[in-house]
Amino acid sequence: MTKNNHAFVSDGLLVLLPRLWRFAYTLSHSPDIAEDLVQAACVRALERAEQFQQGTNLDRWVFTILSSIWKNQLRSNAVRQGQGHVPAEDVLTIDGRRIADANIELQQVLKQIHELPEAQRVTVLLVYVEGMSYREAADILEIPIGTVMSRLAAARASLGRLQADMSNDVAQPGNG
Amino acid sequence: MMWRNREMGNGMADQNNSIDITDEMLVAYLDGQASADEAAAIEKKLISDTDVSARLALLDAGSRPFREAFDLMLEAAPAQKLQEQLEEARSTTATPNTVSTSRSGYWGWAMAACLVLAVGLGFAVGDRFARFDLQIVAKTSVKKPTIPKAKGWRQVVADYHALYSKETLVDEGGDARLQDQRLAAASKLLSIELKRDQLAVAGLDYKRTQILRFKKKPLAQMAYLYDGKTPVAFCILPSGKPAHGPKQEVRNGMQVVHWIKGGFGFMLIGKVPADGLNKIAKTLEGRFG
Repeated sequence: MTKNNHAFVSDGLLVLLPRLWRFAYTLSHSPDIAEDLVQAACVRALERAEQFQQGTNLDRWVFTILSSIWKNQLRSNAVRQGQGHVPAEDVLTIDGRRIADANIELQQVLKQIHELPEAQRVTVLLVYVEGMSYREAADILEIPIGTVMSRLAAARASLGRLQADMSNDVAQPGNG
Repeated sequence: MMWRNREMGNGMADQNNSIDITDEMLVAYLDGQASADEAAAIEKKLISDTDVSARLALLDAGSRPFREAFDLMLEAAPAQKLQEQLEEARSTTATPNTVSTSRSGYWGWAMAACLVLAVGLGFAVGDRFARFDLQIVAKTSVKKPTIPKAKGWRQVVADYHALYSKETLVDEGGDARLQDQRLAAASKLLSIELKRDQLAVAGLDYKRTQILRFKKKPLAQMAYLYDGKTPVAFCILPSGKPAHGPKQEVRNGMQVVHWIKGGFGFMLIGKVPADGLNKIAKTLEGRFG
């Protein structure tokens, strides 16, 4: 069934591309590396298409592949060279134009999350955005489930403190 | 849960008060991932332990509309570049067998890529309705010499519909509220009344409405399943052309019935028997325009 699997995976990847790119950018913080990472993941997924079991989750499978390529091949170089870093608020463009109707508050949220360490923001993406269970996120990132939980806890504590600081700033303008 | 094994290894519920409640446990509690026992232990502790309740409040304040914020990024994904890369990956990894049996070569696939991605994106952005410009298809197909340069809306719809399968629609239509919102939005954009009961037709199972766009005009596409397995689409767009009654044609091997009435072009398409489609078209023609 190799032929069918190749077509099945290929069609599935097509629909997944924006989510894969979002995942890759969240890992790398570089639009250029994100594109390379998505391409590498697509190539590997297609090469291994025959291993994919139809009826199981294609997105989980491809996310695992992408995460593994990042971890084992691209991450060290990218981090060492610090290449192409672009903050999240600056990638919100279509053909170079800023997304016009993007909600300012949501942009602010996105910025806050992307300022978290890579390990935390990517776990937030998988669990709170992609809707994966702790177990699924742990499998994709190849880490223990306890680490998923501690990353989420650390992310939420940071964001919670940020929220508290912002509330304090609002409460203490001292202009009146 | 791991922590439970670690912290509550003796399994005695009456020891709940003595366990340390970690931030990890509190997040699992907030995420609804804690078991009933775990939740009970935390709740018991919350009453007496202000440190725990303060930490819970902090973690709770660390919640955000994560999904909505990240969905902004889906629109920013460099769709065309990624599709080109995927096509390259597809062709380099395909066996000769796959290439010869693939749909219709590069441009056919590229066109499919455009559409499937746009549809995927449309759904991914959640309550923003699935919208994209069907002109993309026309632009893409211009590059293929065998396709005429200026395709009319019926051909563009037919090309789009050719990609539909049972699986595209079978799980759709579950969320009645969302469906009604989409219908209302489509009604408003096109300035035509679209109600569920007007769209209900014997022999067709209504699945969903999408708002598309063709040459800057809104295009409402109502999708159905015929016989539980064959996709049928009913499309409406504003038209300045003279009215005419239902006409039959075949596009991409599918039956089409189309007519113009009351300032709107209507089109019904699907790989179903011509008689059946004509009957449905007559019913719909009486209800709109």
